[in-house]
Amino acid sequence: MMTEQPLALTQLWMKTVLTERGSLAEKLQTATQQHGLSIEEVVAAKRDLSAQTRLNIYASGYVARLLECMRADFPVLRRFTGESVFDAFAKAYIVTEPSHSPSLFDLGAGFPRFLEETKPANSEGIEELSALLDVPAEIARLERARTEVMRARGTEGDPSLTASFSPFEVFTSDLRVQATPCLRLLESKFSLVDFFDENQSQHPKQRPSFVAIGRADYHVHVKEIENWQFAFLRACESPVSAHVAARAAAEESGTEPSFVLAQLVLWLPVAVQFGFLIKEIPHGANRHHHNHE
Amino acid sequence: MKNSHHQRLGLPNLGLGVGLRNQHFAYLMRNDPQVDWFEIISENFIDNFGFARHVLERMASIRPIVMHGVSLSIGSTDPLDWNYLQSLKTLADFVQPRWISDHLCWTGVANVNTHDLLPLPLTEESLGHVVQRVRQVQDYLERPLILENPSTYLEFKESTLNEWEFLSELVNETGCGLLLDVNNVYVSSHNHGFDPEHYIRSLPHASIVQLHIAGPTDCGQYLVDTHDQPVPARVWRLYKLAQELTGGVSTLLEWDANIPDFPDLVLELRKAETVIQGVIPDAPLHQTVAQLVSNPVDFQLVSA
Repeated sequence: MMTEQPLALTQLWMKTVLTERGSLAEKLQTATQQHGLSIEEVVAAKRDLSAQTRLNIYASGYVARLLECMRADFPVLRRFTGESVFDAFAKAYIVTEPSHSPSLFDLGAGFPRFLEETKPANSEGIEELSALLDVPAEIARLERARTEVMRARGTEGDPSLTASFSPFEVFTSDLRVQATPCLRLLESKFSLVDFFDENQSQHPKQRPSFVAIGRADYHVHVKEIENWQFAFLRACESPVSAHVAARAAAEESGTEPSFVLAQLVLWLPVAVQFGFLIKEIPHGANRHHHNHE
Repeated sequence: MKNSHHQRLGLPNLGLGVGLRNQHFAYLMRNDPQVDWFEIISENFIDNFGFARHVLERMASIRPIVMHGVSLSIGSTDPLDWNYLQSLKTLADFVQPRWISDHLCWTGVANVNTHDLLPLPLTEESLGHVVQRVRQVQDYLERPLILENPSTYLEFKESTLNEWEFLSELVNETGCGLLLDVNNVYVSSHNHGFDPEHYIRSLPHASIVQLHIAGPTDCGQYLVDTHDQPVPARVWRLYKLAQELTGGVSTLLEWDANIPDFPDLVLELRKAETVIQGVIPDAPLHQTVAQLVSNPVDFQLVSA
């Protein structure tokens, strides 16, 4: 008659077998060292199917299942790196940083940082190669942001929030604007946006770029924007006078406020169309101001 | 199929339903759903305010919805995740589901989520642990929890109860309901060598609220719950038995990988009607030599 193991110990043992690095034999050795249990003590062998084979269905499935999620979340990065390199990156991430969330949506959240932290050291004297090492993390950051925008609170369902601007409304002193709750802004060292087009095979070039990701009518827009537009949208994170935001954008981008205001005549309707910007929500309107995070 | 109100915990027989999946969103927004009800994976819609929420709102306005979770981890020795439960309740307030279900399993421990439905040692200790947690969850959600039997690939040496005994005791102690997955019964019975009909006959039938049907895969030495094939004849026979013993409960066809177009999915679902009349489709069990992933997660992928 064997001694009954506490449930908690059995679960810790099995968690270790599933999530540790290495072959099944190596995982089992780690689990035995950590928890003092052997597979013979835990898993029953029946019907000519060994305990190892049974346990391996779960152990091999652990990485395979989460790898499928990573592949689905980062299709552009897969295209850039190729499947085998992507899988190596993703498996290393899965084993190094196990999921702590009930939602698979959170699984890829730390992947851009992981790629950034684990990239090879820069190659001295080969600037182009060194820069290339930064591309995977930059692509992953943009893909993650796009996924977040897909699920974030947006402006759909309330037509009053997406009313367009009349062409010269920006010159009225009381026009107040704010970014949509789903807007994400990114700066990059590379021209990433074109590479997100599936038909675009040319790799991202090394040049500074500014990206806005918004959503309108449930369609996600990933657009490269000008420096002043980036600064303007950043100034609109909270409700703000368009004139105040224009002055801030001009200062940050090294242009004149009059230039920004003149450009806004044409660009504000575009920003609304792409789900970057809305007129200020009237005080007391029923609206959630926070994203899902 | 009229039942007394004591059956199914007093919950309705919703008829024939399918899972609400991304792949069918565009179709469903343009066409009649053709099914009686939808089951959603709760985690796909928690904190999701995009198109998926829009589709859910539309479907919930025209069809009953049931919330089916994969992250409750009712068997884990970690503390219950109250943040998750709060999110579940918030979603339930929005969806107004007919019931909320999850699995008799644990998904992780020590704050790690494997995102798999892992088997429990079926002992008195496990039973007491799960009983106490089911009561807590039911008190919080203010409704009975409906628990599904998982597909399993291993058994623990220390287990002293059969799964049907464990589930029956759990029902007795907590008043929870059962989501009987006849495909999982078939998969586990093959993998562990028990009689699937005996399993189904031994359950408390009045507490069975819902049935799952699906197509598994024969990997040679064992069966895997792949949810990517037509329902084989052997699973249909168990389905017929379960419907006879329960007096009729809601049926849900699970198809979560290699998902067919919606009209084809409905055709597969409709076979359930002829099965109840005694006509069993002559569908073979899918076989492969490839190593497959148990409990696939395609249905949870953002870009799927």
